[in-house]
Amino acid sequence: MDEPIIRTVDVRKTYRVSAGTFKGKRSLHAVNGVSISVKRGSVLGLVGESGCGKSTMAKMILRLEDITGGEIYMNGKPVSSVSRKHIARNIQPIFQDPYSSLNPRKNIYSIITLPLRALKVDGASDRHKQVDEIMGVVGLAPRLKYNYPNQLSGGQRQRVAVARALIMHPDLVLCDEPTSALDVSVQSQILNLLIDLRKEFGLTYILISHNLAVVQHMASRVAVMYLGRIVEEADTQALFRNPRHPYTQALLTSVLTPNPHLGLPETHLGITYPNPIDPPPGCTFHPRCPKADQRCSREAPQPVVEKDHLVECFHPEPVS
Amino acid sequence: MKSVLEVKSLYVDLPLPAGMLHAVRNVSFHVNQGETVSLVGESGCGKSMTALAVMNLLPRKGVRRAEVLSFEGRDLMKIDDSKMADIRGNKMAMIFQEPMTSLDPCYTIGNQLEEAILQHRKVSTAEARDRAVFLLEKVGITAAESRLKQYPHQLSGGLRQRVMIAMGLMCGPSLIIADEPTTALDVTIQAQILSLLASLQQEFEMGLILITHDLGVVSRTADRLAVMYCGEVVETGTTEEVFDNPIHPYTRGLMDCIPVPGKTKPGEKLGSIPGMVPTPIGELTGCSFRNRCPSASPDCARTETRLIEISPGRAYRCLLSPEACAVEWNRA
Repeated sequence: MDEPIIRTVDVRKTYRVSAGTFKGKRSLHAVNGVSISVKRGSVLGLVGESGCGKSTMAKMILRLEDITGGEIYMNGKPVSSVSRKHIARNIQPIFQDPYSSLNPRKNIYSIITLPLRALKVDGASDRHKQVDEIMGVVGLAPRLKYNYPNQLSGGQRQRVAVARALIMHPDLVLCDEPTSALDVSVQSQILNLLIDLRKEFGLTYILISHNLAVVQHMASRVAVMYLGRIVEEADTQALFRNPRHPYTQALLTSVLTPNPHLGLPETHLGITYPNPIDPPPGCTFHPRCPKADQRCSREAPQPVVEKDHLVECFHPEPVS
Repeated sequence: MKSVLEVKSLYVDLPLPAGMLHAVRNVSFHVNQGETVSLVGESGCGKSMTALAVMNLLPRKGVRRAEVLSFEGRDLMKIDDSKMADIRGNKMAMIFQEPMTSLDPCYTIGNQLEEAILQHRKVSTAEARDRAVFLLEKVGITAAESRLKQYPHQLSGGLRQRVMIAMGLMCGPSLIIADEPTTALDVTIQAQILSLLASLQQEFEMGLILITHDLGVVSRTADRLAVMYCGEVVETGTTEEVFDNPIHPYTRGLMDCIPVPGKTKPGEKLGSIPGMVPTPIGELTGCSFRNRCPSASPDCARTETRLIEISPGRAYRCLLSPEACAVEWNRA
């Protein structure tokens, strides 16, 4: 089998944060032992509520944050042994908010070519041709080349961000909430673009999103994160058809699909997302879990894989 | 049923350096007691401006005019600012999108909640505090008494939005305007906040205007809705009518744009509306959706579109008949 593009083994990220005035520092385990692998040509969806560590994962994969423990392998090589620039050649990000991810003082041409200049790619003479080409690919008129970000709409800006990510011809594009700042009709334009580009260039995506409908539409495999751990991971179809972890089940019931004949769902989750500085003992989900018993509050469950469907729970739904 | 708010032919104009921005054009709707009416549309469609015009909170230089703008039988166009200030926050409350920015970080939750009622009612601070505790418990906040002493930054996003809702309810309003109340929240919290709003609304028999771009939220909560595009209402009806049987090409387009588990095929291309929302600046003629419409004809640029009523409360704005809209749509 092919070596996965990205493989993480028990990756951890711990921040030292202040616990309060005069109380000294405490450890916040933002990512607490995550092992995922992303196959070439696949789309991994990473879902979870805010504060679950999905964006920290993204930053570590991009090497924007150092890893506290574990290791990330890119094409089989540990990333700690390769340079940041080497990573940037293979992995490029698309961020959530196209209003803050583009430098307002640079024109579109300059924004799109920045990765080329930063990585000192040869061929300065035909940069214009390259930019025209990539702008055509993402559906931007070449006449916008000398415009500034503030002259573009949200959708156009996100297209610029996509063009900037693709100009290096990376293997992996890391999309961190690529459409959540966009309007409904623009969201579908960008999603369609991402689908087309994937087919055309054989790209691999890691798609971070809290919108489960988008993840189901785009991803081939889905990992659900809760408080720094992957609590369930499976192929998209299997996960949505047969969610095994109570948290995944709650997430799925809370998706509001447009249906005027249904009321609002009851998630039975309670209001409090636990404070990550002070996670509950045992299974971190037990205070919100309808199935929790004594064991859950004492012992942390270990991941169990059954038919390629990982779940971390003492009372999982059986695999169907 | 008693009508709480009636809006007829509301216009909002904002002078900009580039020309006059017609943010809201000829918008009419009404809200009955205990009813949820939703204004749906993308950014820039005028849904928030409509709400601000009702509250008389338009940006400076913004001008509103309306044939009828009456709240509980009082004409809001005629009453002066001090009378309006009396209604606002008292009989008519607004819940904003960002609970992070709409609470004052310098004051405690208790302070801000009590201020809402001390401003409008002759009550003692003790009574105001009791009311605050009562409402915090109503919106599902535990240990309400101790929360009063906390500052906004000590609360999570979901809790802050609950505090915003409690603040809106302090004076027992008859109308609540919620502008994207759950957009900044996680999905699991979203469902809870919406059910909370719905149950409080039933309990206190309030009218609710729900402003959102999320069709899922609308379909699950609203009784009636108005789809807005470029400052105009393009389609209106009960939620069932519009979702089961959309007429206007824009409504149909919006519904095709969103991935729906079980309906859209994963990995296949979604429907999309080409182009982008035009800015309604300057002289406007014809249908504002014609440049993005799959069924547009040369007539659409020349003829003024009207809201055509096909049954009481059900209307759409297009030159084509509802049947022709459907045929054109299936062909495109």
